[in-house]
Amino acid sequence: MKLNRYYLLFLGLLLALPALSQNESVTRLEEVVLSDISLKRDSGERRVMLLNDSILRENEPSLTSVLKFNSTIFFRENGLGGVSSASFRGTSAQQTAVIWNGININSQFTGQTDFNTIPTGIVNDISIRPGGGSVLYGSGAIGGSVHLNNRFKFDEKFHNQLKLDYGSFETFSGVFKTAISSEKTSFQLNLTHHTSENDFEYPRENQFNENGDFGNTSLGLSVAHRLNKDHLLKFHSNFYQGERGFSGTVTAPSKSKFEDVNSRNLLEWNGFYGDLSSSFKLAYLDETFRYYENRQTGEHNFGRAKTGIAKTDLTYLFTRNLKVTGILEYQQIRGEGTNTGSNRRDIGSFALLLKHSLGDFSYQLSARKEATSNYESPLLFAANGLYKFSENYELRLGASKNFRIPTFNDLYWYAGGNLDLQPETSHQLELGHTFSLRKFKFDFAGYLIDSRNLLRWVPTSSGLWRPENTDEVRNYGLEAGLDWSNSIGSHIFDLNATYAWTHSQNQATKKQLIYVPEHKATASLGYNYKRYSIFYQFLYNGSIFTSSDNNYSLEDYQISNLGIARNFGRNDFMKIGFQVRNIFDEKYMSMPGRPMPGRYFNSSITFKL
Amino acid sequence: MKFRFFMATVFSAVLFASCESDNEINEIPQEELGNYSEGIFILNEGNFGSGNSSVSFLDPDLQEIKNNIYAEENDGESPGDTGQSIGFYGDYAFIVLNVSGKIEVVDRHTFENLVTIENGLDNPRFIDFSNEKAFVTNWGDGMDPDDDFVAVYDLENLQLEEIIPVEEGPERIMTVNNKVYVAHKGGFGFNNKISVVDPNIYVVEEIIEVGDVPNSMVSNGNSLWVLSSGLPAYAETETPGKITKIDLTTQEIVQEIKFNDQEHPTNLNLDEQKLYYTLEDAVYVLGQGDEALPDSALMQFNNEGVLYGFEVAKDEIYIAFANYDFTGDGKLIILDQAGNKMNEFSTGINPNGIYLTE
Repeated sequence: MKLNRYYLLFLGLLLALPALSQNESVTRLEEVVLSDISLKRDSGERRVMLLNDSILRENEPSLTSVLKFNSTIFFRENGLGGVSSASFRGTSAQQTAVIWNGININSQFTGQTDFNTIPTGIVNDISIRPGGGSVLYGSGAIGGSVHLNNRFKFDEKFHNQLKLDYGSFETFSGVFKTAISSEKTSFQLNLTHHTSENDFEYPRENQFNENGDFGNTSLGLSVAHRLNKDHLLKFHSNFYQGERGFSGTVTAPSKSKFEDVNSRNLLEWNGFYGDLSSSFKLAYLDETFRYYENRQTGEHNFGRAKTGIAKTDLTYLFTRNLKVTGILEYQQIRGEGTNTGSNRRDIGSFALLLKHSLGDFSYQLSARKEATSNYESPLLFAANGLYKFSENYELRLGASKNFRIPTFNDLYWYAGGNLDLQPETSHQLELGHTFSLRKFKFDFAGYLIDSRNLLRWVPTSSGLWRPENTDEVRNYGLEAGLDWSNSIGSHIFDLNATYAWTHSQNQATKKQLIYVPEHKATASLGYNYKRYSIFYQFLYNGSIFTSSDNNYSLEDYQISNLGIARNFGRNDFMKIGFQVRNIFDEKYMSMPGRPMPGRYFNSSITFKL
Repeated sequence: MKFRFFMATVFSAVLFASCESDNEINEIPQEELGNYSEGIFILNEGNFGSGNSSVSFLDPDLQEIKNNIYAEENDGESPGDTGQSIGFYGDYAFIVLNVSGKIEVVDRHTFENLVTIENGLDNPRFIDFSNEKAFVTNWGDGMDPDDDFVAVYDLENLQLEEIIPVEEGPERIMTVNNKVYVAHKGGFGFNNKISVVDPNIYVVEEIIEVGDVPNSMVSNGNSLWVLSSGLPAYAETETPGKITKIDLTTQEIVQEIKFNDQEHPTNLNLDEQKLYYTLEDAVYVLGQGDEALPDSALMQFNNEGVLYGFEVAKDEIYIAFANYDFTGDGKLIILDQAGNKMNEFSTGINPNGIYLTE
């Protein structure tokens, strides 16, 4: 795949593999290379967008930046590198699940993932799966889910890659990836390190983003070993340590600091017995945060949650076209923290999935039920169908019920924690179309999400904030994605674009929810000629309301990035690149009082062996 | 240097009028001095971290409100992040911005900014004046119970004059009879004390133990009433609220009125004869000599928002409400002394203080 190496940008690749081609050997191959087998199994009847390694390399090294410019997901950032929360299809950050090799890693305390604590260099690719997925991925998979995957290769080769970046605001990033495999064993190691003074100038002259420095280091290790023809062992481990100053705002200084230490471990054993295949997983996640109001002192509060997961997955192939999977899972979470005390939660669940192909039509049905002592868990389900009208047109239809469970903060917060909370639930419907015409692929989807009993912190009449099951919200919207690539001689072109129109309304007030842009569009264009490559990225973010009475808002903004690169040496072993971000020096904010940087620069050098 | 401009205005104005408490200033009608000489100011604290606090102004006939007067007079700028309180002294208003950690000093008649005080402030809360000095309560680092202080500024040049270390969580501050009383509500923790500061030598000369979490104080003659809300339900042991009456000649507690269990009152206020407070969404009144609490509320509100600011004038009662989710515009409701609604206005975001300047 020599082309691949030349691709500067190869966005939004659709993984719509025809359902018919999923014969046994393909399935087995998927289970071998990927730990999140559900993602692959799903990709027929659902839309799953893949951001591959080459896209991740060309973007800034945080998950926020990659998704901001390459998907319909909106991010609300407390300044560059600060806490970053996602809004997918108009939902909240807690209604977007982040899945690492098949395991939900949203925080047990906040119920969300801070997208600036995930370095993209640690994984091989990222998939974006819009729409509900609680049957497979549990709590919070409502607006959609973001999947971080490590894949195994058994190509008996030794790959090494080192990428070094240096740019404005004393920003340094280093990513080292190495992979080696034999026929039986595959090993990969990924290391990232990222630091920045992040002291960019605010639009008001002589005022800078103070106390916004950050630094993080992450290490990822993935090993797979074939015991014999029918048995495979896999192990993934990821360690992350980050330290950030929480920057001030235009009108307020800050002295605070936040530290994250996360480790994630997953051991998996796959067995293949003719028509029956099994997967047994053991996972251990450990998340710790420390918050220092004044970083000069040692005074801090903290939280730590340890999650153990045991999961078994059995799939039986009744015929070539009918597959049934049962999943049994047990989770135990132990949390302790300054504000939440020590608590434990046990959750058991059972899910059943059916996938059936009938010529041009295929569908999946699935259901899941959890049992836990804390609350009554609803029966979750999903039904998805795909009809292939022709080579050029496919129609998808989906319906699901999803949920979000109360977090440790919701239940046990020392002031206001509420033990009577129930999970919030959401029903959704989706209709999608995919048109393919030679080099074009166009995807168009409409959805409706009705959420009830939302978990919200509201003040009581005595002034104490407590979480309650309150409010109903209806989200509906349209999403469009366009992908095109073409080559004429040595000239290679790529175009990818997304657009989302989002309505997210509180049903009582009929007002748009805060921090949900009505419009968001992204586009990127790549051009390669022999050893040269150039890319242009564009983002339009519509205005967002910052108050629930819709009296206050932030202006819309457009950001453009431009990059050029050239390969050097035998087999192009070296690549030197230069990027200008926010070339038009747009002044913008996604949170009030927190300006984002104007024009800034980055240079990179990549070695491949 | 902004300071020089300030000093010029200081010297050109009659500043050394002997006004001590913010309720007693402005004895001369001064309409010609600016658009805001006569009327009522409402401080809207805005949202933490968003830098969107604002000041609203209600005309003296209580017919028209003008929001965002600070921005209007100061090139569209907000005073800063989380407006905590305003202190009035002579021709000046001191807007204390908690999260910005500063005080914006404006001409009280025109609301034009004169100077910014930043030196010596760390988590500033409330301000009052005595002996040509400004006294500002500060929590310091919220997580550190031992770094709380009162900062003292010389009003002639606004230079920091003294830092007086005090007990945890100094909140309301009030000058009476040449003593400065500081109520220690507790910062991120809880406290139950009143510090008595001698404003001449900057020394805490006495500490009076009152109910848990003293949130407001009023005084009349030689009496000081302190309203404590009690420890909330999430504390180790919940305690009810309490009114403590202190005789200022002896600094002794002379009367205590206890609330029922689980009652956590706030916003103590007074007019000539009566004391007012709020409990949840209701306003209560009792006589200054009463020994017991009233049985029923003067006014009970429902679904107006979170009761967030409260002030009693001679003829009216002002109640400010923040929205339930603390985003968006709040409102101000005005009642007459009998508790009948006179008027209602939309304010800025999260109105927390009403300032009468007559």
